[in-house]
Amino acid sequence: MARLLLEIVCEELPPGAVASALEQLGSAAEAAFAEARLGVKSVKTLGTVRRIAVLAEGVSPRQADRVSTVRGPAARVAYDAAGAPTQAAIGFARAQGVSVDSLQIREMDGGRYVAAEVREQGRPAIRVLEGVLPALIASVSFPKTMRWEAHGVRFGRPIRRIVALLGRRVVPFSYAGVRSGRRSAGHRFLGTGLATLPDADSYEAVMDQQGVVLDPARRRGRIVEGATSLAFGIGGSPILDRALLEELVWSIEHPTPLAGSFDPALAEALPSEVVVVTLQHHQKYFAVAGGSGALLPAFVAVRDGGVEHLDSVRTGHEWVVRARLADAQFFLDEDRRGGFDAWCEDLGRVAQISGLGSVSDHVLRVVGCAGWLAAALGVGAAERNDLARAARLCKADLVTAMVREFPELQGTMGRIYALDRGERPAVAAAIEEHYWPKGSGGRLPATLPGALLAVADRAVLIAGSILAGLEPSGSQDPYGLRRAAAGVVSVLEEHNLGVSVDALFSRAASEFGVPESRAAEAARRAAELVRQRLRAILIDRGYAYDTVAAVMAVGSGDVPDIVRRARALHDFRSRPEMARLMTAYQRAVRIVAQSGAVVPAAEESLDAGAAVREDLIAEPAEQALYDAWRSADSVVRGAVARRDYAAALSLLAGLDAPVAAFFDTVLVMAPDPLVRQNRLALLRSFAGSFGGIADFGVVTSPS
Amino acid sequence: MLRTRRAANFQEMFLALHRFWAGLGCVIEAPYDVEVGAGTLHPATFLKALGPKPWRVGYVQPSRRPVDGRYGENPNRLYKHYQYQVILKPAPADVQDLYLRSLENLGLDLVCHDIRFLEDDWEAPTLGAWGVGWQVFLDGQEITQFTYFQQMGGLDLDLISVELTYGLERLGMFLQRKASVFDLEWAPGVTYGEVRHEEERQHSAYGFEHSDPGTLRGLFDAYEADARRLLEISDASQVLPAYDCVLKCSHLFNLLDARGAVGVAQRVELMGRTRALAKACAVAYLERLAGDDAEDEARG
Repeated sequence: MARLLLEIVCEELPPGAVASALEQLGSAAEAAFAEARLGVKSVKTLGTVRRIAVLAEGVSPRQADRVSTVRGPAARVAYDAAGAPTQAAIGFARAQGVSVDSLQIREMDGGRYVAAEVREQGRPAIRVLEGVLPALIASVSFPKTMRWEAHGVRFGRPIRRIVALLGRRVVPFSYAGVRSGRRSAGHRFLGTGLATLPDADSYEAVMDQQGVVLDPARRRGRIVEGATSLAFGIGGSPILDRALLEELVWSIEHPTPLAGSFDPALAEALPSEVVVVTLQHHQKYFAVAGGSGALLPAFVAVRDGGVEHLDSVRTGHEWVVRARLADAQFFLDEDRRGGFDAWCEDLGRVAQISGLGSVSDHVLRVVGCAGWLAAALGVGAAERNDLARAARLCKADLVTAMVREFPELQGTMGRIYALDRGERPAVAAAIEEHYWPKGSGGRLPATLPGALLAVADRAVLIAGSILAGLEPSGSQDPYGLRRAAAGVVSVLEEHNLGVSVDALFSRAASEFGVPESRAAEAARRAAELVRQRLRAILIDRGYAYDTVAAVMAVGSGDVPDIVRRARALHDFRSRPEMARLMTAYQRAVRIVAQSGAVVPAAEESLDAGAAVREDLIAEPAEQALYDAWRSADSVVRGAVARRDYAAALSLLAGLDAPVAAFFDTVLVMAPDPLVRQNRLALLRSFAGSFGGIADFGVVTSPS
Repeated sequence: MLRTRRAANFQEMFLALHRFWAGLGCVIEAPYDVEVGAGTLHPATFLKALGPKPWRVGYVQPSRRPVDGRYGENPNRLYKHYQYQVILKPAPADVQDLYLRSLENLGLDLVCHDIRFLEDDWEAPTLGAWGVGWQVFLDGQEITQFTYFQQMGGLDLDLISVELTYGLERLGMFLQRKASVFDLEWAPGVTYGEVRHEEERQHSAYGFEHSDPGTLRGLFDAYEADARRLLEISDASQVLPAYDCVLKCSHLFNLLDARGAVGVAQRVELMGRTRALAKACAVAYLERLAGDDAEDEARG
């Protein structure tokens, strides 16, 4: 039993790809060992930005033997009448390398045949691994690959060394022009040159001596603990941005945090968002917040190296931070000389998505769409004015020096500059909020103008992109339209904006001045994209497929309403009366359908009810159902109008007993055609009462 | 315990890099004498990266980006800056170590600093070119773009080159600890500002105020037409002059852009026209190389 080490030493891999590469390597190794019949106790991976390694414990010295049964000639030709083997049997045994005596007769493939049990002896593990390990390396995939030499192999970054050891022995092979061996590479500056491994067991110890912290959890611990205690030392706490922390964990082999400071006057002069973005995104430092939550003029950088000459490193980082913040100050001054009018004019020269004109054109369409949306929703005059103003200004910051340098501050700078220039706070807030949510689960607009602008901006983007032929397909969504569609859903729901998505996209598509039929088709596809996202979001919440399908099959594409109906139906389905109600509904619908009539939609059910003639009601159960339905229907209708769908469903559930009694005792298909028509009308009325909530015909089982 | 060392002045950086890379077999070329936006456009990079022949070169390339002009008022932004460009084709296996040694050769004691290779993929859509690599950071300062070319002119490369592009001003400011680029010591007793400030002022004013869009457009059309005409000539024998015309187009586009004279649709169109020419030059250059090889074989 020996330990196996495979370490692939690369030039710095993309930090975002290392964890996935390790995962792939681990699971591919387990599968490959099983496939190769190599006994292994456990498999684990370790890695950094410069190396990915897989370690297998307890590798058996040999591959397991393989026993297989090989079919030979038919039994009747293999033995003569006396039962002695014929030439056919002897030849077969020789070819399989077994003795004639060991041949057996077996029932196989519908006949009796001679069979040989052939034992293939397992090869030594090291021989097997020569073939397995290169294939393992080749199986690791990266989001983006490269070539670096004539051999044409593709990988995340160039492979420079391969360590392959089974116990003390090298597993010899070549991959990507690199021969496997026992020499690894230590940390770029802390290592001592030759990182030679006597055996696989010494991997962690040797790498430790070589300054490489192999375990990502240990690297994370060093960064978090170090940053926290350094920040504490200057009276604050580090802002541990998750994305930054992960990037550092996977881009540094030997993390050593250090604290630095900068001129408080710079921190005063610059908006805190600018300071944080400069530190986090551009410098990869943690910003430090003081007790009150305000930023301290300090940062925590994480060096890839040891504590030697840390003062010199600190001086360097402090010098660079000062230069970057002074740079930002310069952008701020430059922008102070400009203004929204000039910026808006410049938007005419900034391209929107190909084929859709300039950002300025986009803004005009958003202004139109937002105005329509506000009118459709009956928004008050003050908020409509704020919305109109914000819509006009919402993209202006794209051409400011600050946003050109820090694109992640789009919207934020818009808010800051709007406030600077005396715009109303609601306008400034809407400018920033219209980019929200930035991703799935991101913060949503807090103000109504912000929410309406967020919807209008995305509606125009989606409709226009579809008109330009840029619809997402498969995993390809280069313009983020699915994300935009999900954003529309979240904002509509959060702010309870009861607008039909069909109407919304009709309006958005009409902004492009294309022929009506093209606009209508684009609107239809845009609304479908939003419905797809809504469906996915509801299913993510744990609603059954058929619940979602049933509520989306009726109504006008009003997102918050669909969400409410989905929730009510989902809750109702766990109640015992659901099963009986479903049975009653389905029986009613089936009989009505067989008679050739149709179940009316919600708005028609009253007429259907009116079609029931009381004078033709004969049976008590028929009368009971009619009475129960009549008293329930108007209340159901009221509950649906109030969008109290839970109440509506409870009321309908109250009909299950009269319906059951009706089916038990009343013959719907009565000989008298008038009576028959009347009973069918009653059932249609009953089924029609469901139509304001969901299409119960789509609900498959009363789960 | 700070180690002190003498910071190289600006011109000593050129000289030190020349000596270092010449010692590793690089041809030391001169800057290209047609305006370019980046050292990559020098024929010694764009064209020599094509084809199967090994090549090593180092040169300083003044690079013009009209839109970055700030009239010499911003301590960090320049209309024209200097790149030190190295091409190693094929990329040697120890290229990162060679690069780090070149930094030591500039007087940097690496153990006193924090050197990081941070993922950064490079793309130049107007050249149909892209590569993967890193930005190299020195104590948080970006000092070099380090790229393995994958495609040039839309063509997969036969032999992968590595490109090192040192940002000389940034590196110099770090070494000399100067807050403004104009305070850099260029030569003993001479500052960067004395050498270049007036040029920044005049060219920024030209780019933003005084250039004539009509003239620039006319020149763009003329150079484009000439590039096409030259590429028609048999055996690709005029591909190098044609490529010069493409560089002119590229720079004229940058000037029009800085002037705010390019609308959205036109911007896409002009970039597309430039890219098409760059690709045509790459194809013609390879055709020419293949022709030369055939001739060599016939002679041999």
